Amino acid sequence: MQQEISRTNRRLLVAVNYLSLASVVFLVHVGRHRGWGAAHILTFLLPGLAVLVATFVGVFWRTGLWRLAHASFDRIDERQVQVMYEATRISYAIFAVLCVVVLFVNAVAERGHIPILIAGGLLYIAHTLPAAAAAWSEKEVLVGNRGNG
Amino acid sequence: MKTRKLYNRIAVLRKERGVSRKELATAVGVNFQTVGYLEREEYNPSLDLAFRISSFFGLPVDLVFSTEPMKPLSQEILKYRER
Repeated sequence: MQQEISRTNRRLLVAVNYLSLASVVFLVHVGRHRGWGAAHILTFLLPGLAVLVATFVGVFWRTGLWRLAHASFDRIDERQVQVMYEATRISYAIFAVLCVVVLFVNAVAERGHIPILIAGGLLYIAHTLPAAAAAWSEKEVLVGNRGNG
Repeated sequence: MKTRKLYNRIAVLRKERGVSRKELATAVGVNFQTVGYLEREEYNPSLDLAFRISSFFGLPVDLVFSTEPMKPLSQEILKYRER
C-alpha cells in the first residue's frame, strides 16, 4: 500500500536535510580552524550526518523522487518530464546564485581555493536540488513509489 | 504561457468499465499517478495522450475531453438520441 506524504512534511524534510548539511559543513569548518580534535569534530559530525542521511532517505529515496530526478526522459511519462523540466529550471537558478555567492565570499576572504567541505556540499546540493524542487512543489508524492515520483 | 483547463470524463469511464488506474496507465503508457492528475483535471494531457486515452475507451476524443465543463453522460446520450 502506497502512502501519501504531505507537502508540509516534504518541505520540512527538505529544509531539515539542507540545514543538517549546512550545520555539518559549518561545524567541521569551524572545528578545523579552531584546532578541535578529531573526536570533538566527530561528535558534531555524526549526528548531523545521521539527520542528513535519514531525511535524504525519507524525502528523496523512499518517494522515488531521487530516481525520477535522475531518470532518462525516455523512461518517464510526459507529466513527469514537465515536472522535472520545472524542477531543473528552479534548481539551476538557485544553484547558480549559490555558486556565485560562494565564489564571491571566497574572493572577498582572499582564499586561494574553495574549501573541500564547501565544494562537497555544493556537489550534494547540485545532485539533490531537482528532487528537492519537485518534493517542494509536487501536489502528490507517495512513499514507496520507487522511481515513479 | 497560460493554458486553458481541459475537462474530461476519464474517472467516470474508468469506473463504468471497471478499469483500475494502474491498468489504464499501463495501457496508455503513463505512470498511474498521472491518471490521478488527469482525473482531478490538474494536468492537461498532450494531444497524443488524449488520443491514446480516447482510443482505449473506444470513444471520439471530444466525448472524453472538453475545454468546457463536462455534462453528465446521460445528458449526452439523450442529445445523441435526439439527433
